[in-house]
Amino acid sequence: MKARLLLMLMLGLGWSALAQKETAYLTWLDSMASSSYIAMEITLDELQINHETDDGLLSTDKRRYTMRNTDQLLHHLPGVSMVRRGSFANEPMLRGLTSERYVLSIDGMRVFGACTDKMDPGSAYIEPISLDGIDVSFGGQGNMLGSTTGGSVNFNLKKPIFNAERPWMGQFSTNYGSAAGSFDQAVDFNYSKDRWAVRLSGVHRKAHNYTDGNGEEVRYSQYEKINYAGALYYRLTDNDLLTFDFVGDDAWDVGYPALPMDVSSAKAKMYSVGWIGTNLWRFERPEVKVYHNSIDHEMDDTNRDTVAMHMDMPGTSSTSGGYFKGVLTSSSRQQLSFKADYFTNLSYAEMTMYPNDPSELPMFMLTWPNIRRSQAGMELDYQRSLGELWQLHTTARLDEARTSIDSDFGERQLNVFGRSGTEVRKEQLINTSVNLSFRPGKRLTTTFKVSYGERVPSVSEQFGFYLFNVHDGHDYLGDPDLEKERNLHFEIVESFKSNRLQLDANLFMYRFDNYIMGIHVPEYQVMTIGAQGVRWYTNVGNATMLGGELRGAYELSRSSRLSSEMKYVYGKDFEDDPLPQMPPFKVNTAFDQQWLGINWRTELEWASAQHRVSEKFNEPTTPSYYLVNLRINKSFEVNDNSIGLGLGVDNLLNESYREHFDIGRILRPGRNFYIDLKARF
Amino acid sequence: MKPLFSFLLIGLIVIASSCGDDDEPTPDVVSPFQEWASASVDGINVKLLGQERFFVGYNTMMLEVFDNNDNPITGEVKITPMMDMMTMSHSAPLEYTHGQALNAGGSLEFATVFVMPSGEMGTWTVNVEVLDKMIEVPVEILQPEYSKLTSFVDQVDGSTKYFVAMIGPKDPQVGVNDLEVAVYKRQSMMEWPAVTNMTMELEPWMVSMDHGSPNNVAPVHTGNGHYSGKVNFTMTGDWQIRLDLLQNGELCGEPYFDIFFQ
Repeated sequence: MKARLLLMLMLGLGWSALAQKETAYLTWLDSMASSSYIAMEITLDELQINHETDDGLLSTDKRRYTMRNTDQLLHHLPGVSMVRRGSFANEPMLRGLTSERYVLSIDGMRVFGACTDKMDPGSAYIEPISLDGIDVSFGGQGNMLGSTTGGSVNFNLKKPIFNAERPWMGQFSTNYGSAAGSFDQAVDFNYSKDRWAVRLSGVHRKAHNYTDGNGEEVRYSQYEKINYAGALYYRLTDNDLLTFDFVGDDAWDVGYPALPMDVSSAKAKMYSVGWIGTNLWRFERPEVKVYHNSIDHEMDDTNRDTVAMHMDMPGTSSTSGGYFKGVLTSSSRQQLSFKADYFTNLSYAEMTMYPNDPSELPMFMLTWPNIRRSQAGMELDYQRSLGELWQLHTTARLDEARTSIDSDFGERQLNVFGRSGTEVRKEQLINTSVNLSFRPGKRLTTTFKVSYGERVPSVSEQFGFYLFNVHDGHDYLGDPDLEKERNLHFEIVESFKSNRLQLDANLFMYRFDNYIMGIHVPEYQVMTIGAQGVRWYTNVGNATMLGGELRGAYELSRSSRLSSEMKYVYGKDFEDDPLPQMPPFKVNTAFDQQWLGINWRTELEWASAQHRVSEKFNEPTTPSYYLVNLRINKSFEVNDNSIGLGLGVDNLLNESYREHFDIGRILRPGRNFYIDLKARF
Repeated sequence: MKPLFSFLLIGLIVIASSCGDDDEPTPDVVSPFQEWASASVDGINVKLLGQERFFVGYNTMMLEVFDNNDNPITGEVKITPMMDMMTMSHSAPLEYTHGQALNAGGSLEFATVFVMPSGEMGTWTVNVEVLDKMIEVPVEILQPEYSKLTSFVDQVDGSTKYFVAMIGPKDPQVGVNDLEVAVYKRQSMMEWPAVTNMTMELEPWMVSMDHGSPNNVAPVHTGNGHYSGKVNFTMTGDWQIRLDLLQNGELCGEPYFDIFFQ
């Protein structure tokens, strides 16, 4: 495995022959001498659709209005929806595609949740206070993070600041929310001296059961967690940097009202060491990182009083990997970047069921039978100007994925279905994209995007064993012989920018081939008590998604701004039936105003009813809903320190609602008053 | 800098360990038979060996016959298991695996299906006729914790009594298991012939959760009243192997076996 990584690095060197022109490279690391470093974009990808450093009108100011948690932050990103199973650890969904179809990474580190029921997407282990920004890409474009058919989400960790005006800096925030009696605290310190810079942050959250719009307490929606993160950076020379990042997260007593089980403990640890330099062989801005992360997840139903049978379902996931990236050629007209990456993940989950009759034996099975997946990839990213009006951005990526199981018990389970998993399965994956931008004037930009992406099945799709899905009430079986899924993605983006108005509209089409979907197998009996059938993950053929997003912002005056976003996705499967969990038409509108030295914000959210439902998946229709949120925010400066006070109410009208893709038809929180306090020092 | 180094070390170990293979020791091969009963008559010493203590069900056994000088005795032999219940006595199904002749080593492999345990009801002997002598070897038959023999009365004629012995799986585990059963009927107190014309349907059942398992293979007759198939267990726990036995398309009986494993 090491040899393969080296080989890829050497192949990368071959490419460096293309780099003929040494360009005057901006003293990139020098910018680290100031606090502007924190806002620096590390990748130069202009097409990142969202970044906190984007100063355009469209970027909602997430600093002014503290986002209380990562889920809320993601919820506000365009094209992203959050699938709820409870108050905690919502699953990000990119244009209707859930986590098996996109790459999730934290600072370039691949992270795979340890729960077979998707209770812990990687985003559950990251806190906003540790975040510098979130990069999202869609379709076959994996943003140099991996092979994908649905896109990518990368959480950029906050870096420590070198040589700031004060050696010690920090911030503290706390908030209280009425709907769940939630009380959170977060603290962040930065210290730097000479060649060293350190940051440390800690978060504690606790929430009780929340109350929905009908005034009903939603049982089993409580949670408590702490998160601790740190970074230690050392400048070897002025322009070379050694980095060490650490994130720890520890959640307990987490309820999932939509599921039959809760989580007594979920623990994550992530480490990485890296080096960032200016030049290495033919590479400019080379960056190397090695990482390891591990997650221990304890799912059980000890606190549930109405279960047919008690069970424990612990799971673990650990991932090690590393990458090298650098710029091969860079000039004002073009740039060629290279990345080679590798990871290996081991996923294990088991289930023990305890019969109510104590004379009967407990039952045991492996739901993820020690699945080892390793993947190595190489990617080239090329951007160039074609004349004055056209800009080309193209990427090409090649991966090899290897998957097998390392468990006799698991192998015997598979034999029951005439399958085997011990032999290593190899799959080559190609991801490529071409974006062509046309900018005839200063105001209008048209971008044509075509991308082709391939992905290997998720560990559940390939090796899951009787995984119960509450959404359709079926037990799911993985199929080791699944083939890779492919997606061809077309998109047109039209952007208009003037001093006071900015509009961004896109239309997209995804055409999946070998789409992986659970297909009912009538001859198989259910395992889970109360389940309605068994589904086997299958390459079903085609699936099509069409949709669009429209975002706009208009500056009414110097102190007031109106912004709006609309989105819709239409999906159909291989039998022309609706795809399940498709987000209906939704509009978010916000009005921001500064008045009396206070920031006022009114938000309206409307989602249409979803009647296009998948009958195959027993999907219920979802009624339309309408939300009003209000927030006010005021900052004070006290001796160079700033204090921000925020007050607000979510769901002012106490609407009783859920989003279409939410699991288990559990209603979302009703009216929630909150107060937050933020101090910077 | 310490955390950096320890982390790098961990990374290397993780990469290195993912490449290694575990060596599994191979168990030593030993004879599966050991002696459980013996008797001597007129210089003929008879030993009965079994793979485990004799139990109610299908026992694979070995007969060894020696003279007083420990020389093997060869030739034809007749074996009759007998249950003496004071007021009456009866035999049990018997199977000569490779004919009725003692081999050059003085031994013969055979199988007996003991149909009830030893106890107050009566006592078992295995009667061996060799060199015109009858040697009665007393044996003790245990009732296993989980029954490996079941019986039923033919639902069609309402009188014939059938005995079904489960030979395998001996060591049931999650996954695909070889299922072997043998079927006999009681024709008279002394005649217990193998039944060779049954067709079977199979359904394993997880009792605690009320579900079955997929892709099982119903046992089919392979000879001497033995039927072989495949039974699948998708988890550990309390399983039942449920069989439907049919003759000429008519259901004769629905015997089942409990299987427990962790």
